[in-house]
Amino acid sequence: MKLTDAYERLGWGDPLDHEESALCDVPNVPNFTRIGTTGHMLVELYLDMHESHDV
Amino acid sequence: MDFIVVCKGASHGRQMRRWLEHVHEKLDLAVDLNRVTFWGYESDAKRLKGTSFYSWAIFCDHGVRDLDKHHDNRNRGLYGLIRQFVPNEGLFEAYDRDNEKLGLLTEGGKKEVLDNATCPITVEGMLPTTWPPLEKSSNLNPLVRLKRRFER
Repeated sequence: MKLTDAYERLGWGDPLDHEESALCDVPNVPNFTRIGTTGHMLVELYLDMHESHDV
Repeated sequence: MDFIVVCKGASHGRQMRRWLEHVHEKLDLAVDLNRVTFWGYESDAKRLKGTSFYSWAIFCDHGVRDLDKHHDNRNRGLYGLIRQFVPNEGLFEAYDRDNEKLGLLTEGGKKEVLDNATCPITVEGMLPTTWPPLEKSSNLNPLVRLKRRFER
Protein backbone atom coordinates (compact mmCIF):
# COMPACT_ATOMS: atom_id res chain seq x y z
CA MET A 1 0.00 0.00 0.00
CA LYS A 2 1.29 3.45 -0.86
CA LEU A 3 1.48 6.19 1.71
CA THR A 4 -1.11 8.26 -0.11
CA ASP A 5 -3.55 5.32 -0.05
CA ALA A 6 -2.96 4.81 3.66
CA TYR A 7 -3.62 8.47 4.35
CA GLU A 8 -6.84 8.28 2.39
CA ARG A 9 -8.06 5.25 4.34
CA LEU A 10 -7.19 6.97 7.59
CA GLY A 11 -9.19 9.99 6.51
CA TRP A 12 -6.12 12.17 6.62
CA GLY A 13 -6.25 13.38 3.02
CA ASP A 14 -3.18 13.79 0.87
CA PRO A 15 0.17 13.75 2.72
CA LEU A 16 1.29 16.73 0.68
CA ASP A 17 -1.66 18.74 1.98
CA HIS A 18 0.19 18.90 5.27
CA GLU A 19 3.16 20.62 3.74
CA GLU A 20 2.25 24.17 4.59
CA SER A 21 -1.04 24.01 6.42
CA ALA A 22 -1.71 23.41 10.06
CA LEU A 23 -1.95 19.89 11.34
CA CYS A 24 -5.22 18.04 10.95
CA ASP A 25 -7.52 16.66 13.60
CA VAL A 26 -7.62 12.92 14.15
CA PRO A 27 -11.04 11.80 15.37
CA ASN A 28 -11.71 9.10 17.94
CA VAL A 29 -8.19 8.77 19.23
CA PRO A 30 -7.88 9.75 22.89
CA ASN A 31 -4.93 11.98 23.72
CA PHE A 32 -4.04 12.44 20.10
CA THR A 33 -5.81 15.29 18.43
CA ARG A 34 -3.57 15.91 15.48
CA ILE A 35 -1.59 13.96 12.94
CA GLY A 36 1.78 15.63 13.19
CA THR A 37 5.05 13.97 12.49
CA THR A 38 4.52 11.27 15.09
CA GLY A 39 1.43 10.02 13.31
CA HIS A 40 3.17 10.13 9.99
CA MET A 41 6.07 8.12 11.37
CA LEU A 42 3.79 5.47 12.83
CA VAL A 43 1.98 5.04 9.52
CA GLU A 44 5.30 4.59 7.76
CA LEU A 45 6.44 2.10 10.37
CA TYR A 46 3.22 0.14 9.99
CA LEU A 47 3.48 0.00 6.21
CA ASP A 48 7.13 -1.03 6.45
CA MET A 49 6.21 -3.87 8.78
CA HIS A 50 3.55 -5.08 6.41
CA GLU A 51 5.95 -5.06 3.50
CA SER A 52 8.83 -6.68 5.35
CA HIS A 53 7.51 -10.20 4.61
CA ASP A 54 7.89 -11.02 8.27
CA VAL A 55 4.55 -10.04 9.70
CA MET B 1 12.95 -8.56 12.84
CA ASP B 2 11.45 -6.48 15.65
CA PHE B 3 10.82 -2.78 15.64
CA ILE B 4 11.96 -0.56 18.46
CA VAL B 5 10.62 2.96 18.64
CA VAL B 6 12.64 5.17 20.94
CA CYS B 7 10.45 7.90 22.36
CA LYS B 8 10.35 10.40 25.14
CA GLY B 9 9.18 8.17 27.94
CA ALA B 10 6.71 5.54 29.07
CA SER B 11 3.72 7.87 28.93
CA HIS B 12 4.54 9.00 25.40
CA GLY B 13 5.10 5.39 24.41
CA ARG B 14 1.65 4.41 25.65
CA GLN B 15 0.09 7.22 23.61
CA MET B 16 1.99 6.16 20.52
CA ARG B 17 0.91 2.56 21.08
CA ARG B 18 -2.74 3.65 21.11
CA TRP B 19 -2.25 5.59 17.91
CA LEU B 20 -0.54 2.65 16.26
CA GLU B 21 -3.52 0.49 17.22
CA HIS B 22 -5.76 3.09 15.58
CA VAL B 23 -3.72 2.86 12.37
CA HIS B 24 -3.83 -0.93 12.61
CA GLU B 25 -7.62 -0.89 12.85
CA LYS B 26 -8.10 1.53 9.99
CA LEU B 27 -5.67 0.01 7.51
CA ASP B 28 -6.56 -3.60 8.28
CA LEU B 29 -3.26 -5.07 7.12
CA ALA B 30 -1.72 -8.30 8.35
CA VAL B 31 0.75 -6.91 10.88
CA ASP B 32 1.69 -8.18 14.32
CA LEU B 33 1.75 -5.15 16.59
CA ASN B 34 3.44 -7.20 19.31
CA ARG B 35 6.63 -6.81 17.33
CA VAL B 36 6.72 -3.09 18.10
CA THR B 37 8.30 -2.00 21.37
CA PHE B 38 8.43 1.56 22.63
CA TRP B 39 11.49 2.50 24.68
CA GLY B 40 11.94 5.73 26.56
CA TYR B 41 15.30 7.24 25.82
CA GLU B 42 15.84 8.02 29.46
CA SER B 43 13.99 5.23 31.23
CA ASP B 44 15.50 2.59 28.91
CA ALA B 45 18.94 4.14 28.53
CA LYS B 46 20.67 0.96 29.71
CA ARG B 47 18.94 -1.17 27.10
CA LEU B 48 19.68 1.43 24.42
CA LYS B 49 23.33 1.37 25.32
CA GLY B 50 23.56 -2.34 24.73
CA THR B 51 21.62 -2.48 21.50
CA SER B 52 22.88 -2.16 17.95
CA PHE B 53 20.57 -0.71 15.35
CA TYR B 54 21.06 -1.42 11.70
CA SER B 55 18.61 1.20 10.66
CA TRP B 56 17.14 4.04 12.57
CA ALA B 57 15.14 7.18 12.47
CA ILE B 58 14.99 10.40 14.40
CA PHE B 59 11.64 11.74 15.40
CA CYS B 60 10.28 14.86 16.93
CA ASP B 61 10.61 14.69 20.63
CA HIS B 62 7.63 16.83 21.52
CA GLY B 63 4.34 15.65 22.96
CA VAL B 64 0.94 16.72 21.75
CA ARG B 65 0.71 19.50 24.32
CA ASP B 66 3.77 21.14 22.80
CA LEU B 67 2.70 20.91 19.18
CA ASP B 68 1.57 24.50 18.98
CA LYS B 69 5.06 25.60 19.84
CA HIS B 70 6.17 23.89 16.67
CA HIS B 71 3.59 25.57 14.54
CA ASP B 72 6.14 27.56 12.60
CA ASN B 73 8.68 24.81 12.55
CA ARG B 74 9.66 23.92 9.00
CA ASN B 75 10.24 20.45 10.28
CA ARG B 76 6.87 19.31 8.94
CA GLY B 77 5.08 18.65 5.73
CA LEU B 78 7.27 17.91 2.77
CA TYR B 79 10.31 17.37 4.96
CA GLY B 80 8.31 14.84 6.92
CA LEU B 81 7.79 12.80 3.79
CA ILE B 82 11.40 12.54 2.66
CA ARG B 83 12.70 9.04 3.02
CA GLN B 84 15.82 8.95 0.92
CA PHE B 85 18.36 11.25 -0.66
CA VAL B 86 20.13 10.37 -3.88
CA PRO B 87 23.13 12.48 -4.89
CA ASN B 88 22.84 14.10 -8.30
CA GLU B 89 25.50 16.49 -9.61
CA GLY B 90 26.14 18.20 -6.31
CA LEU B 91 22.49 18.30 -5.33
CA PHE B 92 20.27 15.74 -3.65
CA GLU B 93 17.07 14.30 -5.03
CA ALA B 94 14.55 13.68 -2.26
CA TYR B 95 12.24 10.67 -2.49
CA ASP B 96 9.40 9.44 -0.33
CA ARG B 97 8.81 5.84 0.76
CA ASP B 98 7.03 5.08 -2.52
CA ASN B 99 10.05 6.30 -4.48
CA GLU B 100 8.15 9.32 -5.71
CA LYS B 101 10.49 12.22 -6.29
CA LEU B 102 9.58 15.12 -4.02
CA GLY B 103 12.18 17.67 -5.00
CA LEU B 104 15.80 18.66 -5.30
CA LEU B 105 17.75 19.94 -2.32
CA THR B 106 21.11 21.61 -1.90
CA GLU B 107 23.67 20.29 0.55
CA GLY B 108 22.42 22.89 3.02
CA GLY B 109 18.85 21.83 2.49
CA LYS B 110 19.73 18.22 3.04
CA LYS B 111 21.58 19.10 6.23
CA GLU B 112 18.57 20.99 7.48
CA VAL B 113 16.37 17.97 6.91
CA LEU B 114 18.81 15.68 8.68
CA ASP B 115 19.15 18.10 11.57
CA ASN B 116 15.39 18.11 12.01
CA ALA B 117 14.46 14.68 10.75
CA THR B 118 11.12 13.35 11.85
CA CYS B 119 10.77 10.28 9.68
CA PRO B 120 13.06 7.48 8.59
CA ILE B 121 15.68 8.86 6.27
CA THR B 122 18.45 7.02 4.52
CA VAL B 123 21.34 8.70 2.84
CA GLU B 124 23.06 6.76 0.14
CA GLY B 125 26.37 5.48 1.38
CA MET B 126 25.52 5.82 5.07
CA LEU B 127 23.71 2.56 5.70
CA PRO B 128 23.91 -0.08 7.00
CA THR B 129 25.68 0.83 10.18
CA THR B 130 25.29 0.51 13.94
CA TRP B 131 24.87 2.89 16.79
CA PRO B 132 27.98 3.47 18.86
CA PRO B 133 27.65 3.14 22.65
CA LEU B 134 26.41 6.04 24.71
CA GLU B 135 29.02 8.55 25.71
CA LYS B 136 29.33 8.08 29.46
CA SER B 137 30.55 11.57 30.21
CA SER B 138 28.20 13.38 27.88
CA ASN B 139 25.92 15.87 29.54
CA LEU B 140 24.09 16.64 26.32
CA ASN B 141 20.39 16.07 26.38
CA PRO B 142 19.24 12.69 25.02
CA LEU B 143 17.80 14.08 21.80
CA VAL B 144 21.06 15.78 20.89
CA ARG B 145 22.88 12.54 21.56
CA LEU B 146 20.51 10.72 19.22
CA LYS B 147 21.15 13.28 16.51
CA ARG B 148 24.90 13.03 16.96
CA ARG B 149 24.72 9.28 16.55
CA PHE B 150 22.77 9.71 13.37
CA GLU B 151 25.29 12.08 11.89
CA ARG B 152 28.24 9.76 12.33
